[in-house]
Amino acid sequence: MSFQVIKAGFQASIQDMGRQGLQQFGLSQSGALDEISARWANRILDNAPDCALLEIPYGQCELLAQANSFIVVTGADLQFHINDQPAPRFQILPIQVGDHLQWKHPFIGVRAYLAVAGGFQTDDYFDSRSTSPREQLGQAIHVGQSLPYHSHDTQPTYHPMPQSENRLPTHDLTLRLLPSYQFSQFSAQAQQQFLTQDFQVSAQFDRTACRLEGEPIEVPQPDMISEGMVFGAVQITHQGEPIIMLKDRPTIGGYPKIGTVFSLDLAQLAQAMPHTHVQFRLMNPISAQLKRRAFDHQLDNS
Amino acid sequence: MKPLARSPSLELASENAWLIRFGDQIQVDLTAKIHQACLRIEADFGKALLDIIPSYTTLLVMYDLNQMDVLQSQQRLQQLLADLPEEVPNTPNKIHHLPVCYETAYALDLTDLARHNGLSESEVIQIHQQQRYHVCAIGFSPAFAYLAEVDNRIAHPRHASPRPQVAAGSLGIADNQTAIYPTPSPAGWQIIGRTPIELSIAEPSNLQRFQVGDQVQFHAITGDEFQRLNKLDFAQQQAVLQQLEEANA
Repeated sequence: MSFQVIKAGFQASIQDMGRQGLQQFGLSQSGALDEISARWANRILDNAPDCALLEIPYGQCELLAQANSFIVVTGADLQFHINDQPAPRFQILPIQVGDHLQWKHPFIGVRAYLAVAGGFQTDDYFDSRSTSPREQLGQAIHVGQSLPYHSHDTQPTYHPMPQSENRLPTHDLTLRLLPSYQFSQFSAQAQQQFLTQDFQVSAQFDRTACRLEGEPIEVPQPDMISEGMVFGAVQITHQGEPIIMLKDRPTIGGYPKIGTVFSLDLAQLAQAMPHTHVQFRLMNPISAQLKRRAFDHQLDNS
Repeated sequence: MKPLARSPSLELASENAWLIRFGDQIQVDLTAKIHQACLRIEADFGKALLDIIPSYTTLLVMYDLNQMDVLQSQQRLQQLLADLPEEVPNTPNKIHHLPVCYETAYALDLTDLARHNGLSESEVIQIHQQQRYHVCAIGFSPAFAYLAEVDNRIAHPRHASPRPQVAAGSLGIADNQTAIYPTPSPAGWQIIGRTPIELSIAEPSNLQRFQVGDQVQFHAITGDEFQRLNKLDFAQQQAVLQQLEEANA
């Protein structure tokens, strides 16, 4: 039982919450870029949090259902249709054999998530179904591919997502930044510049990293001894360009890092188009933890 | 030269991660200490530890913020680091012995490197394989182990522009580090040989072959021996490595 891929879109890929515990062996974290939308997709559908979903950037994706089940779509509004009729996001929808699911063009946001009851049953790599082409662990979906899932007859329990959790960005984005890594080694002037400057999301934005455009930031030193990189670490290149490291980042890196973006704000970044204006604002880690814990708690208890 | 290691310090890495810094310069004898710290943190944090990344002079610790908060994690790490012995014996977790063919067909840059460094090719080979290298970091790609420290006489900067692709198993040098590319890859390093042993994660058990704290020694083999070993299946190759290990115990 599976979806057949009729149109593959732009690097649409199967992702779950990624691989943890193996980064010391050079294996990237991988996993859904927008954690808020991905986790809610599974939660609304009463799926286990680690169920695999389909991450669909930009649209131009079409699937043919070959088994009855239930789905939820979250994340970007990519003009989701079922059998040529507009279909709602954030709700459990039944699907039947022969249904065509379609994501057309971005209306708001970039990445949509498709969850299916019980999760996609695609290949497992080191205890995760997240694909990672750079590491030769699966690939983006392609035309003609089958994406397996179990058929379900009983509608799962509905856990509605509060409207406040729909956090698609407006045109301007503020990213809260923890002053981590080498923040204190940057000059006061560089710090000031970084926290007040208007940046723009460049076209170099994929699952590995998001490069920002703006006036160059002066670095304390051009290269450092490579060190472990977290999701959201902001490296500054030799040219003074910020690169925000994302889910498919290599595990270690040697550029100076001016800080780390708060995890929930990275979910918003994942929905930002190139040319989106970005500003940074300092955040302290205790405040970040409280907010993240509140998010996790609300999800688990909804 | 007086070691530049210092008391390990904690730096904030994210809302649920700390970066422990053990030193300011790459030193091979730091790896044993970092490996020891790694083991203790894994044991102490248990399920609250999400991931841990040792790399040269640092150790990145990622924890579950629903099980531990900023202050708790900081205090626990500070305590664990305070309990770490000042000097950790330089006993490696494991010593790997790998066969490598340094013949011209596989050693694309050996001639140039030897000439540049004022050595004969056989001198370069001898110097390269007489050293026991420390695994200092694993990254760039899965199971890509950075090994230090290459003897200054055969050290060489990387190419200004990388080769578009080198064969899986290619052995390279860049400055004072050496490493094997487990899969075909673009490569900026100076290629001086190749191993016939399958090291990529197409064979999943290879992912955890190397660990920071291990040591590696290379053993020269002929082109014919390379061909022979290259044809063996994975299990047979492991048997060959086992023999090499016993012979060098």
